[in-house]
Amino acid sequence: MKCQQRADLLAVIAQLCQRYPDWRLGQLVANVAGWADQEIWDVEDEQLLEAARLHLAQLTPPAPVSSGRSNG
Amino acid sequence: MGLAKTRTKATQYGQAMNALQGTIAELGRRCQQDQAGKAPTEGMAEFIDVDPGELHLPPTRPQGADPGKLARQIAKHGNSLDGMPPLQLVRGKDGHLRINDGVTRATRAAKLRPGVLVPAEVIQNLPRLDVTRMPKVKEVLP
Repeated sequence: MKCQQRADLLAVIAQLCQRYPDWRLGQLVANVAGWADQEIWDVEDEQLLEAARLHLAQLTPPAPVSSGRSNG
Repeated sequence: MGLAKTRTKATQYGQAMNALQGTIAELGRRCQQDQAGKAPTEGMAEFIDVDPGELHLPPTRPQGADPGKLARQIAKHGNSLDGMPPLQLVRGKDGHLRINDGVTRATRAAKLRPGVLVPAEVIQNLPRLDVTRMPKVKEVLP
């Protein structure tokens, strides 16, 4: 269970790395802890996961409603 | 008569130069926005111009910019802000802004070009986050 949560966290961190390629990894994790309003030493994995997911959700526009047409 | 003509022409020239400078600045801003829009997960980025001295520092950088990195950036760029990538910020409680990326750039701008606005991207709104616990860039300038 803990391993799954850690894997999820690392996956969202990887997504954030793609979004912010110029940030150092330590800077990125520190910023996520900041979004969770926690100190980096104290922040729990689930708090990081929630903050990272919230950030990505706000960044990514909602998927367009399918109209049966394709641009491809 | 000749002097009056020369003055008129000088005024017209000055106005044309001001208009040109405005156009160049706008193009630069749009170019930066275009570049930022090419991020892999494009979102609803908000671009603003901010006074870098008024920005709050991140919790892991309460002392401000790293002096060595600041010295290197000053040696390389001087007081020029041309082409400087936008700072990346979060907007916290009561609209106060915290730096997520660009502490050194903000410090250089605030130190060498006080009061000059620089471009920034607000990457997230966190209305419950109190960012004012951390000092502002202008409060820890070297």
